[in-house]
Amino acid sequence: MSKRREILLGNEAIARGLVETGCTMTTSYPGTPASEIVGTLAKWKRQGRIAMHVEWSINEKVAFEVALANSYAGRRSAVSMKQVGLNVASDPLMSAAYTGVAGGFLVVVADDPGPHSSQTEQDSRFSAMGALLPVLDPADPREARDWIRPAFELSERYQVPVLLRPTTRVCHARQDLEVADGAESESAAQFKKDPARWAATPKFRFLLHQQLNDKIRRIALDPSFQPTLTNAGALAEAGSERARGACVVASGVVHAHAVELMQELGLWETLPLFRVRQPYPLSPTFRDRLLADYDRVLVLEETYPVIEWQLQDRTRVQGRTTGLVPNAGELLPEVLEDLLRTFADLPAAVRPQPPTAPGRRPTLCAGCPHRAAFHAIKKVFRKGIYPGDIGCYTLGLNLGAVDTVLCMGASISQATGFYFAHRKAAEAAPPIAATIGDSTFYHAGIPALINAVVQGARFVLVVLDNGTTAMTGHQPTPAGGISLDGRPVPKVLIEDLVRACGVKHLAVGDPYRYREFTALLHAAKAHTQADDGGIAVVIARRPCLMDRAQTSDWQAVQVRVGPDCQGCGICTSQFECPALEDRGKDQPIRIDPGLCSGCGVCIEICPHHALEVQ
Amino acid sequence: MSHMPKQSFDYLRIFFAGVGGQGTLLATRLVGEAALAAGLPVSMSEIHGMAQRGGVVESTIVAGDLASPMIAAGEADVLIAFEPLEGLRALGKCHAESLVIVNTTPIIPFTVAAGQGDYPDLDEIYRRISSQVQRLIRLDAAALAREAAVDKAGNVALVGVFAGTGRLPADRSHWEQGLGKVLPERLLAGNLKAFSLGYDLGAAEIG
Repeated sequence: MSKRREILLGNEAIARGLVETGCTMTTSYPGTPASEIVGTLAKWKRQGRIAMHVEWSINEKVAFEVALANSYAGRRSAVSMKQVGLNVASDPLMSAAYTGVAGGFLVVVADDPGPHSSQTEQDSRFSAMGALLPVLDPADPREARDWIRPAFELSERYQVPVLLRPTTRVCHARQDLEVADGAESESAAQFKKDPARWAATPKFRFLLHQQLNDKIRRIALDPSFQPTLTNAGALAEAGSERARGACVVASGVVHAHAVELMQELGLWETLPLFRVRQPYPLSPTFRDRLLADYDRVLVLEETYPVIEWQLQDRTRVQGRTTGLVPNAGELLPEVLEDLLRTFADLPAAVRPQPPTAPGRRPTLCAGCPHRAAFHAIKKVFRKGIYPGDIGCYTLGLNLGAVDTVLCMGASISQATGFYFAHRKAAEAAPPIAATIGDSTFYHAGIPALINAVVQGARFVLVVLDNGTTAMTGHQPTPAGGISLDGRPVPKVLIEDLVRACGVKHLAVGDPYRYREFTALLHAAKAHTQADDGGIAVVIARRPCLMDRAQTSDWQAVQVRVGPDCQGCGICTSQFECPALEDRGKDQPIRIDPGLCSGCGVCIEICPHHALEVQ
Repeated sequence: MSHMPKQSFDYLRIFFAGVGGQGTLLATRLVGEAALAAGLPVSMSEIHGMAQRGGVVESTIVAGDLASPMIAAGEADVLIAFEPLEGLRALGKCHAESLVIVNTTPIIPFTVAAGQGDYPDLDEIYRRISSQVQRLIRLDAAALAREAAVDKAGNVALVGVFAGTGRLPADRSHWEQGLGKVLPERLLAGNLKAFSLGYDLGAAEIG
């Protein structure tokens, strides 16, 4: 076995850890910052390097259930997702805590303090606590990988799912790690029937609950992930562990920041720093020792007070509940320094004011077909309500074509709700045009569409179909027709699903063919208003420009700025193509040839016909 | 946070600032791979997802024996800015001894194009940076890339300049190993040229 050092992304390190510990199945639905876990495994699968069953499932609930069954069959199994994905999977999570598992079962949930790329910065450790399941809080890629083996063992020892909770700063950290190529171990499936567990009725569920309570009590005392005193050596040397009557408790990446800050602030020899690895269930011996030994305890964790709430002493424990630690946002080193200084009675840090600079907001790529679709929607559904959804196309909000973004699939259900809210206004009711991406439609749109149809709602749904899960790095969709290991599988097409949901008006168009696409939207709108009308669906189909796996039949158009351009700014402010540069009033705009993809849609949207084919 | 100037190499904190689409993450990985090839412990941090589409992109490398991969205010020994405004925005990460390398081609934010706020005067940006750090190197990365006949190699040229300054204790061969790790074979030759042009520029600036 050869050993070497490699720089691994946190998520790649987790993928390695799963392969190295005999995990036989990993499932997921993509979501930042978790995507590269199964992304990496999928790559190895395509290369024929691993035997593990790997899948991009249709959503997190399905992913969880598929992987759980593999664990019921006695094999090590994992499911990965982002934090809001665990909301989707919370139904099986809660129940699986009761049934327990057979083969080790890891739920890898990536949290996003900040948040950087999520609709909430919720703390999955709370979900673990709510489900009565142990959760582990690694601080860097090395720990995330190295903890997988003891986490599987913990899961098998107590027969419960175990949550591994890396944050963005672990998933998207890179670190040099020693790696070795070893053989993957394979274990045969053996499902042992046990209806009192796997198919428990409420009477048995009561017993399972009692068993779970007992498991969690024992896990709190299990030696695998007990808290430790990080600066024990330095404190012992100085003989000063209780000098201040105070201590700090930290977990996850915040612990790494605290190590450096406390050294720089001269607190290393006098202020004990405890490291928590398993925030829930917190060790009762640790809790009792802290509260017996220290008058003041500062708790540093992201993003909710999970450890803090288990230290049930509001007079001595400081943190988010006492207002010392901010209750929202990432605990960046600067934030941490300020509150460590306050806690240790040090003078406040002097920091120069950061320079002011105009902000930047993300936007759809130049040539993105969504931009054309949104522009057409705004034109056809003037003064409309635009329920939106989760994906790249959330950025339609820059264009004024997305009014709501709640969670995966909510565009369709909310369009239904808006329809019934405004129905009494009859003709004065605003038109409703909802948008959802192809992958999100498969994930959570189908039940919402069936519901809209059977409730008799009327609106236009535009499925923005770019043939891929673009935002998270181009994972495949069920329309692809090929499994991760290259086997042909049936294609599940959006139009078939839409028809099967009972939708009577369906059209498929190319948003690049702007005029034809606009006509499709008009016809769809008319259907929602007709006597015998109902819901209309328009599929806006055009491959994502950034997806190298898809080919385009589009003949790039060379656009030039003609003499009629008055610099009105409509193409830059309302169409917002990054390839078009506003040079001020009365100055013709400039086209950046390096960014222009040649979609030619700007020619159609210019009210002065000033953009033309070269 | 206090900064302790150092004589020999214990650690180096490098902050990268740019705009989504400029190849900032690849540049960060390149520096990380070169550091690893040179036998240094490396930790990096980056942000993916929505931020990558035209928004501000920041990433970090700490080479040496440090616990946290993140860089707080006043901690960056080196700032590599892919765009002048992003150089200004990240200036608070620097200290008095910092080296700042700035690519001089501005990317105008939509907020400015839409008349919400102004893009600061470029000379004023450079003056502010120069007044707060030890050394500012400016370059037109796209021009170097064009000279190397690889349009998208501006990011690699920028890293080349940093490599040429010798702030990271890595040999030319370590950098070349790094390039081989992060780039596909077909892009290697052109990028190597862009890297070399940057390297010479960086070495000349420091020498």
